[in-house]
Amino acid sequence: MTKKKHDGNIIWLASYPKSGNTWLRIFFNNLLSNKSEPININELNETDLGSSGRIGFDSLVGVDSADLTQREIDFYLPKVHKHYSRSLTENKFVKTHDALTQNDVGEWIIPKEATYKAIYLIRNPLDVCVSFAHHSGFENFDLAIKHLASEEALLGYSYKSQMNQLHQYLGSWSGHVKSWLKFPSEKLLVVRFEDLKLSPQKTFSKIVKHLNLKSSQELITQAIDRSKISKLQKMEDEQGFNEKLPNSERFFRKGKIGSWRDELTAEQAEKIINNHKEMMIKFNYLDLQGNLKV
Amino acid sequence: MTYKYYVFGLRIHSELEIPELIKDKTTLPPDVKISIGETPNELSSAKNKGVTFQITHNELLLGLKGIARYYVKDGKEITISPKPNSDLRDIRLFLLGSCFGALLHQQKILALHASAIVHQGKAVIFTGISGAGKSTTANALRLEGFKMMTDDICPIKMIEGVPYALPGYPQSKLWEDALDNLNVDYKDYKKVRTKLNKRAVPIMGDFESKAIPIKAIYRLQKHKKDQVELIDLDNSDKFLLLKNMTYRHYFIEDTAAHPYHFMNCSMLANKAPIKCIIRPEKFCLPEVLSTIKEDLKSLNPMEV
Repeated sequence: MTKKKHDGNIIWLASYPKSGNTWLRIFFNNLLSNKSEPININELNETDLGSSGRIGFDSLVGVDSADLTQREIDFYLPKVHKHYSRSLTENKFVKTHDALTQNDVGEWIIPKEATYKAIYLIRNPLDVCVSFAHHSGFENFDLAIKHLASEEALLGYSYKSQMNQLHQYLGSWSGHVKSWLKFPSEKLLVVRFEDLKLSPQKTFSKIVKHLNLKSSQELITQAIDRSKISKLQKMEDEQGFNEKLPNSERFFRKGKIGSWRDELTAEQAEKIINNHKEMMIKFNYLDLQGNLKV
Repeated sequence: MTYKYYVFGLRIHSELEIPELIKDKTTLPPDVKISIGETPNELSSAKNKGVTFQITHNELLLGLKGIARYYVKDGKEITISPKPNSDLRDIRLFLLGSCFGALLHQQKILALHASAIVHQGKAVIFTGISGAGKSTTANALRLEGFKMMTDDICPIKMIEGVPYALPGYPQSKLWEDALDNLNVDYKDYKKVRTKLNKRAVPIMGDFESKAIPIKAIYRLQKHKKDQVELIDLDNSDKFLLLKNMTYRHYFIEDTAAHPYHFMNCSMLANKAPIKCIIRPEKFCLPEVLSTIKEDLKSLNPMEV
């Protein structure tokens, strides 16, 4: 991977949940692997596991995060990320579902000083909603619609029990997208999930170029092929996937564009479109007249 | 005023009142002194630095925003410099946690991130990462009549070649949903911290205050399968488990305790039954408890 030249050594793979983040991680694991076969989905590089891991946080903060309040965790997170970045001798991928927010003392939770580059993945909220409902195991689209619209939405938070991960502030789907657009533009590349699906070679190559990774068109083709949803599904069927939530049937479901058309009612779809019109137009999911483009 | 306590096998003389601890009524000299005062600004020779702490071979400096700065030296002294308007409960929580963790390292005592109960006069230890279910499991057994001897930190000492667990203090920290699962009414229990829904559960009546030999160590873990599994380990896996489950193990690097830690872990790996209990994410406490009880029987065939 790219040798250390800058202060910031973290490559953020950021997205609202169910937007293709895991697929992107698997692509990079395949691209950067020296193996002659596809990487095992249960053996993804551990440093990729994310910004919400308790063990890494605890070992840098010196106390048990389960004894800290949310505000205290938010206070330490930027320092943890900067410390981790300084400790690296090469760039590392870190997955995050955090919206780009500031803590009480005005520091960015995802600090630009800790950042080499960031990829922000965005996916049609209609498909995100369907995938989110299946992933959580509740299969309740109305609840998922509310979740996508809630400015207070958090991941990994419960007020009376300890979650496996640190809380992550999501906010609404639109708020999440908008927040990441504030990231320094020279470091950020926004990528649509749909473009990864429809023009994989071109879009993955663009990402590889943004990150200055040494690679070739052949290696990119091979990594795309090894990360195909059908192959990931087969692997999950054979051995399970350790990042699947307990309530959901499977992690690698369809990964299709437009599967909302088979599952949402017209009213449900309209609600989502109304809630997220501005960002849907900005990212070409809707035209200016409000007609769907995907 | 000096308060005298006994915890983790150590006699403590403290300027800070620590009501969680058991009082020491002897006139024996202290092993550890806790005072309120100035702490160093930094440890210039520290190689191991985190976001809040610095560590040299015999010192820890820990600074927690809005709470206190703590300086732990030579395994004998803790100095606390409280922040203005800080809550005494908060100050004590991190004193009894990370600071004692570092102090035990400095004393070269192996301390596991673990809770422990007493089964037929011997210690049964539950270790695991935060959230693995150590306190819940230990308290479930306590509610069935077993004594409890520590929650969260379990120091271990070799006495004439036999590993002993040392007692902590008669209080357990449990999240409200864990107390709900244990059918415990917690409204009279204080919160561990004002803004955290975790309660300080007193275990006064069923507390074991003596060091006792270890019967077994179980590491609690979760997996994606549907069943509870009990897994035997070979000696090298036992060693790694102890090393990784050492309380605040990331404090040990570059300290004088480092070689002792290695030695303590390998000695214990050879002397104690150590197994993993892996359970699904969903609530399955009854299955976990029956797995433990079955296994404890097998460790003591005479008593079946």
